[in-house]
Amino acid sequence: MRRFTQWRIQILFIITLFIGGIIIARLFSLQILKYNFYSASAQNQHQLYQKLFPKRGGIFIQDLKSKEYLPLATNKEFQQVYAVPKLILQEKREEIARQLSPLLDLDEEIILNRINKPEDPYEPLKHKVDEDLAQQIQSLKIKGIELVKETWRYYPAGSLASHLVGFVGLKDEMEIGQYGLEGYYEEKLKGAAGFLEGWKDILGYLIPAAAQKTQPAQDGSDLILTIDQNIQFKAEKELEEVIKKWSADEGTIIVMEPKSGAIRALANWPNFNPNEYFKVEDINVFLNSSIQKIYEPGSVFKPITMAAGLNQGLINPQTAYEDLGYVKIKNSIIRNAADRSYGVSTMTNVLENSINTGAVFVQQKMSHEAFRQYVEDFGFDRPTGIDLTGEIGGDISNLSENRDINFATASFGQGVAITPLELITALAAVANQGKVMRPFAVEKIIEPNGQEIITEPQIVKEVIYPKTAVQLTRMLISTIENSYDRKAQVKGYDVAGKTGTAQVPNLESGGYSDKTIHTFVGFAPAFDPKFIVLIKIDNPKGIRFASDSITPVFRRLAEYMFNYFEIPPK
Amino acid sequence: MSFFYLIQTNGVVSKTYQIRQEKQRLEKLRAEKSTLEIEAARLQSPANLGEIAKTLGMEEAVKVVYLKEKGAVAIKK
Repeated sequence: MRRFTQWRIQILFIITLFIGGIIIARLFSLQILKYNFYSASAQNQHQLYQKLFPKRGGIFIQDLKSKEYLPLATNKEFQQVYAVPKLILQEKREEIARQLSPLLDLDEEIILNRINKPEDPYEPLKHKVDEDLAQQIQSLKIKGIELVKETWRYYPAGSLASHLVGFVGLKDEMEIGQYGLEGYYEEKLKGAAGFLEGWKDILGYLIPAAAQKTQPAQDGSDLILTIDQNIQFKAEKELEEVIKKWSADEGTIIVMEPKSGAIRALANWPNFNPNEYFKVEDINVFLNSSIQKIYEPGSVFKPITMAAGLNQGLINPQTAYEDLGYVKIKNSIIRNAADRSYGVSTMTNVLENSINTGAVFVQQKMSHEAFRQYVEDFGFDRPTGIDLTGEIGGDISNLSENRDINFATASFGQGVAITPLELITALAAVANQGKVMRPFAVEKIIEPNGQEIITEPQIVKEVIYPKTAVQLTRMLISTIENSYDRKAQVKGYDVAGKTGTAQVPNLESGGYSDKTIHTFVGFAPAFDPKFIVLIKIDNPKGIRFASDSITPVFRRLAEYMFNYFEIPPK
Repeated sequence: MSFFYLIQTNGVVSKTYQIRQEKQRLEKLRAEKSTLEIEAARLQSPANLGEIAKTLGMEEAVKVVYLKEKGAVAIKK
């Protein structure tokens, strides 16, 4: 009996030891081997870590008349429609796809593919759904179709100033500013993300009394533009009309304040709606042709040659020479437009009648080095430094070769390629007593703490004497009043300006094609200018000269701005 | 002590929920303000004003007349 009892005790001891061993092994597994896993899991249940997203800064256009700032780029709340496929009954799927297809503007098949995943907890169906449509979808009360709020970049004015603003696109699932101001000021606009670390309650909300670490998100800065919404709108409207009228391929209008370099309008055609940038098929449309494309400007370059000659004291407005209609340089012959000859002509006549041989006459009076120096000092060999993404500088490499013919053709704008912004910036110096200003599009940056960083106008170079600038301005007024450019004249006001009808180089066979680019640059009131305007259209059909195609556009824009700025006639 | 602690903790929890509700209200009002600002900008845009002017049969002012005063401009009574 005693032996039997001892045997039972031994069995019990062994069983206890075995079970104890299992428990210890399990505890070892849970507490030691899987410590990291369970520790993290427990923390997840109680701890809260939230990334705090900053609000992207806004971009505001001005209304110089009412002194108001209006949003050109802002952040807007939309709804996202998504499906929870695991909650959707199989027999309902086709019906749901049929119901949602017309509302979401998505093929039934696409919707069906997305909701046909029985284990899937989340399938996005449509972003950027507006409030009305969201309510319509909500009223259908479909089980497994949900809505959630999301913020997207929004451009209330649609395509207005699209090349200036650019857009916010996605790169590696992150929002990033592309093109224009959105690209140039990305660092300022995007702000900095923060985080929130603490303990959460049963509903998942932060418990304020518990220990926590917070680094608040820093919102982006706001940009206040120099652009006036009314002038911008007028410029875009005029540009679209003239392009359609002459079936041109593309075009540009820039309006600048010559004394400061502030851009008041910058319009390119074709443009795009930044809210729907993904619908644009040809990405070249995103290029801002005012700063990202170069072209040979033609006769509108002649005032630069004239400025160099006047400033060097080599000529004056009355200096005369005899125009034979052509000039021979070694084996090359340079002719005037339409093979015309004007006989004895003054330098003022050279601009009035846009005489190529006259420009060559001035250029030949100075050394190659001196001419090249003026071209560089006016800023044609480098970007102007405007605060927009992707600006390129002009190509004046022809002037490095020291060939007489290259300098002769450059004197009337052939063989040198420049951007429209470089051209208007250079001619603005003539309107601004010889000072080249850096063009800029942002008047001030407002930091999240309210501090304002104001852009000060910046003189890049005093390229000609004020006296030279006045002489040249008089010659350019005469050009408007006495030449075929009379269409740009506005009664009661002094307007200075020059056209250019440039031939487009034929890249395949060499030489020049039949295509032309028409440019006009004018400023007014000439001796106290409030604005300078550049108008350019590419390859207009059925019209030969810029003096006929785009000078009326300048006149209408000038009349508009005289009224807008309340500038009385002289 | 424990009783006071309990009362204080209760108070904190209650205020926390109030703050949370007010924050939600603030967010809602902010979103509404932003929507209204966007709508105001749309209404004030030249494109929209042009449309309204056209609907009302208004015409563009072609010529602006500036008055020029000679001599004193104050009226003598």
